[in-house]
Amino acid sequence: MIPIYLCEDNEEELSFLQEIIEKYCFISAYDFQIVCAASSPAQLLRSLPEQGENAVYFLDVDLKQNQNGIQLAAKIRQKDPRSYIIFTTTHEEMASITFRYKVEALDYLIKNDPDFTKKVELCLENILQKIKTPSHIEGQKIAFPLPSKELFLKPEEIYYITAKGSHQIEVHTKDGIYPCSLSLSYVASQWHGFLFCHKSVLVNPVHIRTLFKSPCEIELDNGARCPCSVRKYPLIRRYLNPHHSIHSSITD
Amino acid sequence: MSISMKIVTILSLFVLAGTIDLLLLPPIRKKTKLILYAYLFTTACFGSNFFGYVTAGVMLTGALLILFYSHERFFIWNMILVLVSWLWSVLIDYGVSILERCMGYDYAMIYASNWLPWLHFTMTALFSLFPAYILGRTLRQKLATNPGLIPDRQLKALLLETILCAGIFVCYIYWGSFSGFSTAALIFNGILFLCFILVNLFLYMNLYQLLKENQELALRNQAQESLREYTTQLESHYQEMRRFRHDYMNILATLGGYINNGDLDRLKVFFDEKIMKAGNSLVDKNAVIGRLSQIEVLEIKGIFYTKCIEAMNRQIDVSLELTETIRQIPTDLLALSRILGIYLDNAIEAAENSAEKFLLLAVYTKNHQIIFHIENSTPPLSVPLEQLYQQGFSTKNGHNGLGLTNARLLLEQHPDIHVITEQKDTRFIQTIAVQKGD
Repeated sequence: MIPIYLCEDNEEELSFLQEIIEKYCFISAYDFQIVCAASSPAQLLRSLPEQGENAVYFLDVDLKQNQNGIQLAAKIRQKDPRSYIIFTTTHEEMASITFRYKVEALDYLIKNDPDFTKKVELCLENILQKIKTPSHIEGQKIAFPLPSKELFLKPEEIYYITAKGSHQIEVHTKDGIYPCSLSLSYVASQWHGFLFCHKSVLVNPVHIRTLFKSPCEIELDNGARCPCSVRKYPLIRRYLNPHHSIHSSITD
Repeated sequence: MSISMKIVTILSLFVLAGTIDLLLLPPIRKKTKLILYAYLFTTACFGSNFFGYVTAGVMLTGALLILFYSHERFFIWNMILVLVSWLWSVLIDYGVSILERCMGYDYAMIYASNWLPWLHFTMTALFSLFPAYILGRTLRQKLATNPGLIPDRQLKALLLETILCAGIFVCYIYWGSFSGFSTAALIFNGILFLCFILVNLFLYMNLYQLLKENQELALRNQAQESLREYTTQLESHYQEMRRFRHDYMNILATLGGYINNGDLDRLKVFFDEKIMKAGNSLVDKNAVIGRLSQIEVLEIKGIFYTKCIEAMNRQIDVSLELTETIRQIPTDLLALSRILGIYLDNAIEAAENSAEKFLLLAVYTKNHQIIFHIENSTPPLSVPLEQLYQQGFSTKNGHNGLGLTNARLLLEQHPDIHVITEQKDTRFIQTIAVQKGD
């Protein structure tokens, strides 16, 4: 049973939302249940249990009281870190990035949107999907604690990692460069597919496109280049040869 | 002269060359360096036959001319540094010689001995190369992030002063050669030179301090100027609000009139024409500017303001998200505003060249960090992200690609500021996080 909490200070909109959700749950026979339909943040916070229960929260961001929606969400996130938070608002251009990144909200819905009902249903479906997929099927992920968030990456998403100092690394993926406070050896221990191609560079050999001899460096699938030490050159070459004889070329 | 003495003399030329090399500021063409060293070696080896003790003067003048005509980026700096290397090597030579005299060895003994020259050589090499390395590295670092550290006028004055200093040294050595370099003369000269160099050092450091303070002052003035513009904008925004309210009251009165009379048709026409139009006039740049009041840190407010206005003037669709008040940022604000400035410049440039012309700035706190989120649309990026940060690389024509490199250097110097760079489809996202501290 997945609990749903609502917080909306406008009575009409609160009952409207309740109706939509109850109708949807009834028709689709999903195991959601509205356990609290609060009209103020204080009321909502009072009804929260001590332990997090991975609940779903629909919060109105236009709450005219002291606590606006974001602060409320932050408090909820503290108690229930893996909860699903959805904001509802009448203002289209309100702080979408802040919602998404600061509070890690699942979505934010515009109340006046003609597709509002459909979007609520989609959210609930989305949540069910996430709950049903157990994490071990998704595959192993490595956690990188960044200052602004916690980044979970599958090993195959990582291209290479360089060390920037003691316990400071930079993770390079196809789309981004992420600095992180971990040690290179720790990351190497998290997945044994990584290879040390240089004393301060860990590379994912799956993404090696070309190996160059002079200057000794490796070109990855996205065109980026990382240094390779002359000593490790034969190791990388040997690794590439039996597995990637068709797809990679070795240039001398 | 003993064989050792001959070898050591030649080797000390290499040491001088090494000292100069450690100090010279890049970028320098290999050709320039080659000509310089070739000239120094030739004059040093053969010059004494023609010029005697004035050889040094000939060497230095030639070196300065070579650097002057090469017109490399930091040529004035390099001219000063060559002179400084020579002055320093002379001082060290004197210093070591005095030391040897104290130990009981005079020139004649050293010339004839087989091992004393090596002692002399190792000590001079050590005291020359090591400080040169440190100084060279420090200068390179400082100038990399701040090429305008010492403005041209002051730099030229410094050059003149150093030339004078070197000139005096050369003259002294020339005249000193007549007295045969007695111990007394040596010590006297040594002390004189030392005083000279100490005074110079003191002047240089004072100059550096002064200029640094000047720069910070200039930046503060700039921030204040932005703030003044900001207040003016705010005031005009307030006036516009008042006018809007006035119009709004009139519109409401008219609506009331239509409603009382039951005139639905005229009401509809009036509503569509007046109301929808009136609403849009406020969702313009002033609304965005008003939001900046949430940032109470003046330097950051100023830079956000300047860049937002610039973006809007370039027809970019700018969004600013500020949901909480930022009262203070416990970090080097000068560095942070420079880093933000560089990233914002790049974001604006990319957004302008893109089809979407979209720029979004968001500031919020999370996990005891203050997060600056800069997101912009970009034209399709054909190079990997790493290449953007390489020195000298730029996707802009005619730019020297130092912006992001400077940013990277500044970040290396400030480990409490972290940047994440991401690119998804046509969107480029930079996330800058600063430790909040409390």
